[in-house]
Amino acid sequence: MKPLRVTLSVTSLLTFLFGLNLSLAQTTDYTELSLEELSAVRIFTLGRKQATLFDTPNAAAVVTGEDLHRAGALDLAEALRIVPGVQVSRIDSFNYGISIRGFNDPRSSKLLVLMDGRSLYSTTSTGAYWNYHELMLEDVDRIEVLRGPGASLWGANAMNGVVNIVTKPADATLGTLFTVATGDELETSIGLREGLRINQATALRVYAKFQDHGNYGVTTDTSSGGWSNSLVGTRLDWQRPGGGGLTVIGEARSLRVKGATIFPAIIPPYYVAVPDVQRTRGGNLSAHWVQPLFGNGEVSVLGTYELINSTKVAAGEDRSTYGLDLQVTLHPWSRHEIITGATFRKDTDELTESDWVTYHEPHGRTYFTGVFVQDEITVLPDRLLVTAGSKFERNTFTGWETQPSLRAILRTTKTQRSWIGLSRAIRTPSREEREIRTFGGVWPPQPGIPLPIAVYATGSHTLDSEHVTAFEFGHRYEPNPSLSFDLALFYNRYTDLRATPIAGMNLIFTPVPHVQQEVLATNNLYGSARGADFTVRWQPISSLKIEGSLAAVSTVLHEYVPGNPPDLSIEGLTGATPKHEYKLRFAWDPLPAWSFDVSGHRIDRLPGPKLPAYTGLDARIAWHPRDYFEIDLVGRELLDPMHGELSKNFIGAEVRETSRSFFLRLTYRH
Amino acid sequence: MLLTLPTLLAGRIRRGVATALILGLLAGEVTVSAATSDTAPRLEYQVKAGYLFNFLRFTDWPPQALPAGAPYRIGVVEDASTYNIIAETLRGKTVNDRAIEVVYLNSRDPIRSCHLVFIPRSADAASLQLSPNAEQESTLLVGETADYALHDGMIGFVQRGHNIRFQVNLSAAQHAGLKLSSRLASLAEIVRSPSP
Repeated sequence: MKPLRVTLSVTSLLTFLFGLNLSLAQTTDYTELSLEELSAVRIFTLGRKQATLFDTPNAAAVVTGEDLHRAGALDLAEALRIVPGVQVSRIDSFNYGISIRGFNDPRSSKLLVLMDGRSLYSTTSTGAYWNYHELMLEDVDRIEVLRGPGASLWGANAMNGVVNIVTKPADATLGTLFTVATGDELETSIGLREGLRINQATALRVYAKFQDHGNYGVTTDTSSGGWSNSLVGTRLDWQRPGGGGLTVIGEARSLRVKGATIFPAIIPPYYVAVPDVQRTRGGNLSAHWVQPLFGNGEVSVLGTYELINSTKVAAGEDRSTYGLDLQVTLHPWSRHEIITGATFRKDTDELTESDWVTYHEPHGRTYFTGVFVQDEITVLPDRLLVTAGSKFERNTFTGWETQPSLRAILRTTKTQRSWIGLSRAIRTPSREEREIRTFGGVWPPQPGIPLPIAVYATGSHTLDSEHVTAFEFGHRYEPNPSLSFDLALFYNRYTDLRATPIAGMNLIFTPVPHVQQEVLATNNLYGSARGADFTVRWQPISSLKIEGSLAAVSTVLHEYVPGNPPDLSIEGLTGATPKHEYKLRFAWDPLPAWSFDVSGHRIDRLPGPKLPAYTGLDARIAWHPRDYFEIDLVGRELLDPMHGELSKNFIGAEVRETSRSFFLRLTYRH
Repeated sequence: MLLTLPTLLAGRIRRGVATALILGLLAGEVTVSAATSDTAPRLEYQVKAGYLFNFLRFTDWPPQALPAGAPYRIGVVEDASTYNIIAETLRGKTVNDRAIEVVYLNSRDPIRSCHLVFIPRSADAASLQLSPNAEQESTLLVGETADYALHDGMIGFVQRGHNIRFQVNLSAAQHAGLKLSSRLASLAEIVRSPSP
């Protein structure tokens, strides 16, 4: 017992030393708040720490599991539609472009998505595979979205935003949940969850979900038709008697996309639809340990493992990802809160080639190793807080990268906060951007150019990271707990953006005469994006919530080495983001057993792949006569018979249009 | 810079930790001490400290328990980190023209000298020496374990979504000679102890 006692006294001593040095790093003095105001305070985790939306020096938004249910979201991509400042564009039945502050494209390359701390970012092709990462939306506690760089804490690829999906602990999902939905586009959705308490400190849930989607929209081609996905998983939470605890999550997923993939061809009609069944299968396992440290501090260790196997006509992959995230929170001196830690990620992949896609090096192993440190300094108690930090990270592609951030938040009055941020972030090239050689598209013969032009894109090992320096300013005003205004302005300077300038032209005579145009990935673009996000939340009466938001962004890009003709990728990078996007959402409970939800959105025209502006309206009516039973009817795009949202990113791709759809859902919880 | 809390408070912590330390050394087994206490999520306990401040504001103590000009005494049981956050949030504050003192209590300490005692989740509430007639001591007992207001005390914090709310047991408060204002009651979830 003796060594134990010694350890204990050392810990006691450290508690004594560190415990005293407490700063309440907060611009709000909670003794100034009335009981009504206190009961309206909502606590989230933003930037690796507890925070409220009002006091965080970032542009942030949070949607809760209830919001997602009321929005009638059935999968992750649709769930993000309701988040202010997030642009979600459906490309076809299965593919989405999702972005924050510009650069919308099917890959979402500048967003870092985390699910319970596990990164969903793909080092193969950038971004997240939205519809592969299926989840039980009923068990989602909240989705926290930081707009702007989050790289000083999360590192590479948290360039324009961080999406953090947090699921509920197992002891918050005890009992049975059964949900089934069917509709005209969604054919079937079935979800089942069973949560049980093993002992006072331990709870477990197991869950399974299956969804089958029919074909989407109206189109002349036959590309991706219906798709289905399934998920089984479990989560175990153990609360450590002295605080902290262990969370273990294990999941297996499967995705199947039926239909055809459209490839370019050099003979009319210049594309060919190849019947295809895409299959993606995989699983993930994570363990998260949290423990108190020195009384006021905390240490957290998260280990993750993920396996993905994907087969399709164009290109497949086999990838395994190991991740480790260590975070330590300390209060070593008065007025300082230090968050520091280390991260490690290893990806091993084997890419499958096809007639359309080959790779310089189909087998890859990539590492991301980094440390981060952040100090939150209370410069003036209850008035001014400054947060300075940086991540120092080494990656296999581009070596060491430094991603610093400096933020400050000022309490101007009890009901107002102003904040500024200055930060730098990077996006690393993906394996595809470095290794790919692909037959990317065909320009049909045009007046003056009698031959078709076949475009071949080639990746490059000399590709550097993309860089952004972001200047942000925000102001919040909450005159009372039921009304808030949140404004954020940003100016982002981008350098070394990846472009695909023309590297050469050849005249080829087989199988038919055509021009072969080579484009090569280089960091040939720079430019800027400026814009604003504005959100208003109002709850005029307890049974009615209203949220309105505007996201405005304008991106201008230039070439370092001017091409002739100018690089077409500029149009692709800037043209798929609307200048203005408005969202308005009403959630109304007129009677105890009835709920109504109406949400509208107005999207400006897209200049790139030209698409007209459109106004959309979604609605939901729900009847819940008992606590454990609900039936709801959800209608999507009720106003607009047809519209396109985004085209696939290759030449000649046609935009699929969607029309209104409905589904009926039954939810039982006990 | 290193020691910002007033010497008074520092002395109290030192005493609390020292007690825990000595107990830890004397006892043959590891005792629950400040060192192994819960990591208090700081923001959550700042908000709870804001509530405690309002509980003082909207509760009337009998005059013998709270003589004119006397400060309010809040006891925080057995959790140094929670104690620190609450003490720091309430430092230098006055309510109803009275100062507020926040003291650290061991579970073996008598609570009678405090007007309000907060029992954090991690504290060993069972071993808290509630004197047989604790209710007559006019101490407002505030906790945060499940159904605290229903079974053990007078006010219990509860989590409602991402908000912190509170439950009040009016009859328990009344038994202790405490008068909770209607404003406090109107914002609380009212619970009633099962009839004995």
